Amino acid sequence: MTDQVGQIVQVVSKEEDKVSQVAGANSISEVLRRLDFLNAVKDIRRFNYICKLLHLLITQNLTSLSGCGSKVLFSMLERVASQDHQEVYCWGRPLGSTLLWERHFRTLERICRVASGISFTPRPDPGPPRLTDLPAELMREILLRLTDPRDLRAAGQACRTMDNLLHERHVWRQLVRFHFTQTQIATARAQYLRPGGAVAGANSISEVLRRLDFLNAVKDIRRFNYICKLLHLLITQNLTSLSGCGSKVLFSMLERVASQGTDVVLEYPW
Amino acid sequence: MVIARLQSKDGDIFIIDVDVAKRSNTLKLAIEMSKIDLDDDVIPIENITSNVLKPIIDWLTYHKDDEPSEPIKILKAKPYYISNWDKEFLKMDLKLLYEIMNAAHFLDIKDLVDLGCKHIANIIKISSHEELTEIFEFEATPILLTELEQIENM
Repeated sequence: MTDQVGQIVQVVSKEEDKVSQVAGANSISEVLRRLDFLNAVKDIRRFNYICKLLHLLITQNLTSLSGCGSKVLFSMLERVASQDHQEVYCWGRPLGSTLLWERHFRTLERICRVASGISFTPRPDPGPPRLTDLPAELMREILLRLTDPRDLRAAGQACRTMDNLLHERHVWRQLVRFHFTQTQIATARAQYLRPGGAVAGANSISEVLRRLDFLNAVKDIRRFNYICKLLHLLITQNLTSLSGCGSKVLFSMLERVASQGTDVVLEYPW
Repeated sequence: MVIARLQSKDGDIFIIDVDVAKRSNTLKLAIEMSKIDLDDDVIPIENITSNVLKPIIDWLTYHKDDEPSEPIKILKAKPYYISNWDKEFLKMDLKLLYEIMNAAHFLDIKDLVDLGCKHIANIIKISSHEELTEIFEFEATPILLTELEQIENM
């Protein structure tokens, strides 16, 4: 029961958590399997979500799915369709009036008519295939095998499809995982993304500046603007109320910012 | 030896060892789940033509004794050693390679997809973006801001 609940929490919670569970999985069949979507159809709380997912997959990805992927897709569809064969008991009697039920039956008939009218026509021959005709999954696999950001940039410049894929965070996430160790990433996250974590418990400004290593951060081109803004704030609002240490750090930072003009090195951080 | 008969889109029938066929997850699923009588039935593969299916079967047959690969640890592998046999195998028109990769993706043969991706990644590694446009016949695109450049501009 607890891990059922855990699973549901994971599905509804933000993208971040989802990514952790499906990290490294690139194919749709793999993701569906890991999140146990086949059984999720029976879960009333996930049903709507799954129908939406199916709709998306069918309208956009149907032709590019792998054999296993489409197998899972159709098994899910079948389960969704067989969902209302199961008898539903409610208190006393069926819900709704006869009128309502007749309307439902008419809808059902209409659906069946549409379903029987669907026919498959093979696509006219599109000519010789090109790299961009490969499904997005495969293009992503290729990009995931590039370890130098310069290669990624060249790929993005040469081809619009690849450029679009490069806007996904997945590729960059994997690239970071490749170049840095888990500890490095954790430290960086604490410093850059969640400064709250690194400065918890610190009360004075000098302490915060020291812990976040702002003095050296001045040299980091990516944080430079941010730091200038911070300095502006500190000077206009807090200058007179800073402690001795605080104002010392502040002026050292100012000095470094001022001397920045000469030795900025524009390079990749890795 | 138990054999399986695969029928391509053009109607040609390929006879292969069933263990070789099972290296493809899609075929494995088809053979195990849908009660195909291997002695009589052919397995139709409607969307793959003979000229694509043939090299795939060659590749599968040659690699039949390889250890099934671990779930891919993306990017952890050293940059892209490709064995001599595979290098010979890859000496083909890129257009055919795309079709083979697409088919291998459909048949869910991870290692073959992996090989194709590595090959193309290797090409990207050694080429500038002008060369890439030429090799892969991309339509000329105006240079867009990639994420990397956005970071640089920040």
